[in-house]
Amino acid sequence: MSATARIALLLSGVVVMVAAFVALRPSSDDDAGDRGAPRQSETTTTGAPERDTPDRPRARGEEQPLLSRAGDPQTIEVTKGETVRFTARSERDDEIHVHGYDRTVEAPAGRTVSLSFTADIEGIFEIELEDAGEKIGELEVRP
Amino acid sequence: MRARLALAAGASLAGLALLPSAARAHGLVGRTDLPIPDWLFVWGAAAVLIASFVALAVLWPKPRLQEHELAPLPVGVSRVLTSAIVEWILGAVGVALLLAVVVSGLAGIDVTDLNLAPTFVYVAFWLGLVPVSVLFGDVFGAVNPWRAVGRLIGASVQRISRSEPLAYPGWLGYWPAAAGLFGFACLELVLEAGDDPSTVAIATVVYSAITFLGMALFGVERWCERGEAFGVYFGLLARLSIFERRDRQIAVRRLLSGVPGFKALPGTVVLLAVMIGSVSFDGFSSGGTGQSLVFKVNGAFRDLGWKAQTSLEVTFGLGLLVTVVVMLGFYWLGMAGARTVGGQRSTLELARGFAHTLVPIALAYVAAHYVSLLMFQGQAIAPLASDPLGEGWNLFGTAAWTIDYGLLGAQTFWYLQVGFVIAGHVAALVLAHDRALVVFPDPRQAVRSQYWLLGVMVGFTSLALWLLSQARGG
Repeated sequence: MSATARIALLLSGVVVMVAAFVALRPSSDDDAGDRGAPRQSETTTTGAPERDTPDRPRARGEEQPLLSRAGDPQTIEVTKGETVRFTARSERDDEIHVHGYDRTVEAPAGRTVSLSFTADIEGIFEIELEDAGEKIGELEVRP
Repeated sequence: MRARLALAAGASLAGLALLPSAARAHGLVGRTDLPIPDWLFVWGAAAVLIASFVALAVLWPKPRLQEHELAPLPVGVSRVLTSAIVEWILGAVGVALLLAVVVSGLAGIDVTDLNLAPTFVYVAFWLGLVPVSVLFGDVFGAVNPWRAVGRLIGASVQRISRSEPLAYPGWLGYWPAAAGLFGFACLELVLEAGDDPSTVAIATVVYSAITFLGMALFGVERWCERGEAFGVYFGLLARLSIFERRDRQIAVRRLLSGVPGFKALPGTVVLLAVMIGSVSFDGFSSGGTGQSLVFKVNGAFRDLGWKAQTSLEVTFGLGLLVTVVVMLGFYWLGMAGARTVGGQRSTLELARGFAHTLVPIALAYVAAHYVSLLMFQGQAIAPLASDPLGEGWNLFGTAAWTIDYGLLGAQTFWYLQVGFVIAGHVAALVLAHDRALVVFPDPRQAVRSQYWLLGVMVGFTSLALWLLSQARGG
């Protein structure tokens, strides 16, 4: 194979890869619509807007999950920029800690406490009972 | 499909949650990566295949990397960098950091993320030295605290008694290093107390004792070359760097030309299987599929009446061992296949002959899996350096610094991860191609052997991509 043929083959390989990348990559709008909407919103009645406008924080008052040692560790899924809301409870005096965001709230024994903040960092973060060192949930923030 | 997996994992986790202190031994990891999206997984796999076939078609017909030319750096630069005073300083820095780890771990607060020892050992040292080695060469060889102490003591002992070290047995090869890395992986991934500051400090002391024993028996330099796990590990990665040191000269070599010079000894293939297997296990065991498996196996041990901690540690230990053995078996299968194309070499000879091609793959695994941990948890070194014991000190004025998690977004990490995997794949193919031309003098055999090698590389690479796309189980 001549040097020119090699370079041509190499270049066409690169071109195919780039083209495939551009073709496969969802535009940011699709991505947000596809992955960002929390599962709960899929059950909303017809006529509801498909997704909230980005500047209005998603209020999900009645959907606030309760995280506690006895329950399953739940994953709270949000899209970056949304407001995270959840409640938590501990049998002993403890502190609820959201890693990465470094949000903490005192949790006196048996009392249900709530936390809410804006999800502005992407990734998966542990939510734990700080003193017990126990994971009670996970916050998943998608781009 | 993914939703179902997540659901299954979630259901099984309900049970896991009842165990004291959840499955992961990582108190250090506050943030984990989002799995790469499906489309990127598909693209990555396609890119690997395209790259493979293009590479097979365009790669050179005569070996080009086996013998390498060096372009020396200016004499002055080499002289300064290899001077006795610089060696002394670097050695002293290494020893000081080793002592800092032991003292903080033993005397400091026993909380993982408030004590210098765990973050320093698992992040700054174990992960931080990876890019340093790949970019700048064998820096750890110069900083290695055990080597520095060994040389210092060795020199004085030599003056008193003129005893020669024992000859290093040929069969021992890289086995001590492989065992050392496996032990480190157990500490990091298996033991529940593995990231407690006191455990880290004690493990450091124990490892130091073993290292000094090895040096006393077989000589400082020989043990650092073959037996000292971290020296061998970072030395292997440093072969990917373009900088090479020969005596007192530092030179630039062609990209990848340092790797073929790695002489495979007994234990080499196992060493690489441990490197790839331990990262794979870490990825697998935190994904959905892995967690439900952990749950099942752990449940079986619990039914035998074992304590929660024992059964969880045995489960993880077995998982790590099985993963390493599977990696080994898969590579061996490829080599057994390559043997069928002809030639005089046994499977073992082929396995050792191509072992160096796994070095870029091992790097790709580590880089893709840990890049975000290094970039985020690595920032914690600043506050921890100022307050290593968790006593409220502020030695360097950086105690109040916090980790900026906004540094890079999830998408950037996805592209970095997939990029590392593809680059590692291509580098491995190039190395395998070059070696095949030497091992198989008949060009047709060389070509046919490469289909087997390609199979091995595609297998490892697909596994890496799959691990990155694993939905988190919790």
